[in-house]
Amino acid sequence: MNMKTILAYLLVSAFLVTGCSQQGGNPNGAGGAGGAGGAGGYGSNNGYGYGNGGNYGAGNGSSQYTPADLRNPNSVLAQRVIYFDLDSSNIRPEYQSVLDAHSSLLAAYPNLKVRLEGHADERGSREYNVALSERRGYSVLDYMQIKGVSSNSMEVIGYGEEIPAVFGHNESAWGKNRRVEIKYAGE
Amino acid sequence: MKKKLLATLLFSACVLLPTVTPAEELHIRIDSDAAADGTRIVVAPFGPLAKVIEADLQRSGRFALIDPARAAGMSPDALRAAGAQYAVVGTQSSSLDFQLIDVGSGQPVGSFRIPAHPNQRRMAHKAADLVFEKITGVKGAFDTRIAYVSASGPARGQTFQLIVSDADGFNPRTIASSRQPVMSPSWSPDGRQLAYVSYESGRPMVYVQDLASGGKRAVSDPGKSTTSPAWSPDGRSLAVSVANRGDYDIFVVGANGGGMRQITNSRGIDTEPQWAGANTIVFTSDRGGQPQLYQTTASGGGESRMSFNGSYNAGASIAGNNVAMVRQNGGSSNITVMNAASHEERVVSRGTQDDSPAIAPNGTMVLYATDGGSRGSLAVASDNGKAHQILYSQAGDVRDPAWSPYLD
Repeated sequence: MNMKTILAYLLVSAFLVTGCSQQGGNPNGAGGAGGAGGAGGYGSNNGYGYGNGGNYGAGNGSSQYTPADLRNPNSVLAQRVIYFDLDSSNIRPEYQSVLDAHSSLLAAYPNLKVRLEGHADERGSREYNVALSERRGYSVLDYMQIKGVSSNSMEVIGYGEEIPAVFGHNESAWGKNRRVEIKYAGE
Repeated sequence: MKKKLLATLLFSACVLLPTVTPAEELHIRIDSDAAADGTRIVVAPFGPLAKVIEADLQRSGRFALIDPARAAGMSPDALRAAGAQYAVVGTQSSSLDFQLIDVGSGQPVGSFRIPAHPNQRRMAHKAADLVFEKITGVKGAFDTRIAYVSASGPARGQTFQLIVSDADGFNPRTIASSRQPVMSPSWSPDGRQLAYVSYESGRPMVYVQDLASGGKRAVSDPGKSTTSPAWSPDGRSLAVSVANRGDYDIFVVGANGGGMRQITNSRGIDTEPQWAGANTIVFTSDRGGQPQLYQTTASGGGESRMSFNGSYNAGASIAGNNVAMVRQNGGSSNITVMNAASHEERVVSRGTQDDSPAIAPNGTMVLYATDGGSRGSLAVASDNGKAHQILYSQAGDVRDPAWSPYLD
């Protein structure tokens, strides 16, 4: 576990203590976070609890998700990567539900920030791929902006083919590398 | 013995250059040097540097090297019997003194002295340059350097090193190292500085680093992703590609930063600028749907498309009339060299995923990146396609080469 991960855990558990004490005190527990996500009461939240923490700001009550759901491995918010077709920056229909969930959370908690990190497979020209991967990032940004997320909550970086998720010179590897990763600040 | 000598040379180079870190040496695998119709030449075995001269001439794809054992004694009769057209004979002491002999007439074409140099291999490269020029009429480019990027470690956790070496891969040294991507090196016209892209700030930015001092400066706007630096021929400016919400356009910026001005303004991606002389910039654009090469004036305006064969052409590297580019065709990509005047084209690479061409300053050789099996490697091909070598590292993936200009 690296330093950032530890910090993220500490941060989130601090919210759990202030905002929903029944779930606090379990800094390592994915199980504890799962419980928070499963608690239906937060679905109709009016911004209590997290607003007091001050870091995420008050929710506007419009989302069925809360920042705690980011730690829930069973939440749709656990899906942070979407994949693209060759030479394409179009959002594939199967990823709309994932982006809708993140959009809902981000729209409700405007102090949450994400980096949309675009990537390309190894084929084609290296610098062109940086631009192509950034275009993928902006296609996610545009989608989420339409869904109500402020552009101030999002930042796009294109990494081109420089950081492959997996090594390999075949369609299986290429498909896993043509992607946008949603990175929440502080994680 | 050869290895030991090389090790000694490498070691002494490191001692002489304490400000830099030695890097993993590239290994050379010769795929072919069969320029059977090339000029037949023999290099007398006057010392270890004779082998370096041989290797240089071979890599050019223009020579058929004759084993000196077949012309023992280098007498005119022995040379003629061995079928040689030219012979290089000489002596190696602290300096390198040699003659190029026209076997037909038996007369020396030239006599040369290469003064002592701490990097002895450079003495041989300088000699090979003189031989090459005397015979072909084209200035040699063996005594040059290359820059490339090495990446090692697991996916998502790689370390990136920017490495500078001699053009044949010897004397490598690391000039920058980062856990964030480093890419797109470009040599200043005087060979003393490198511009490159680093993600160390969290987004791609262009930096210029002085090779002797190691001093580095950012030349791009910290708020804007900027890629693909290319030095102008006068060394005063860099052409770069600057992003605006995923729409990249070509800009020119002062080599010390500042004075950023926009050159292209198209919908879509304009990137990978390269200078073709002082007044023309060639770049990649997908304004027509797929990436193709275009050209514009260095002050902007007068844009026109210049690649027409193939549905994907990108990543130009230019020397004189020779334009090397990445051409994707079906599932594979290769390096194609186009003559900008005659529009004649030739595929010079041999892999299935080849990219990042870097053409030698005299236009006769192209260095490029190739997938080379599991690891990325560099390869060098002669522009006539006859000679081909793979340069690979056991330390990691090597890619993204840049060829220096002529050196002093």
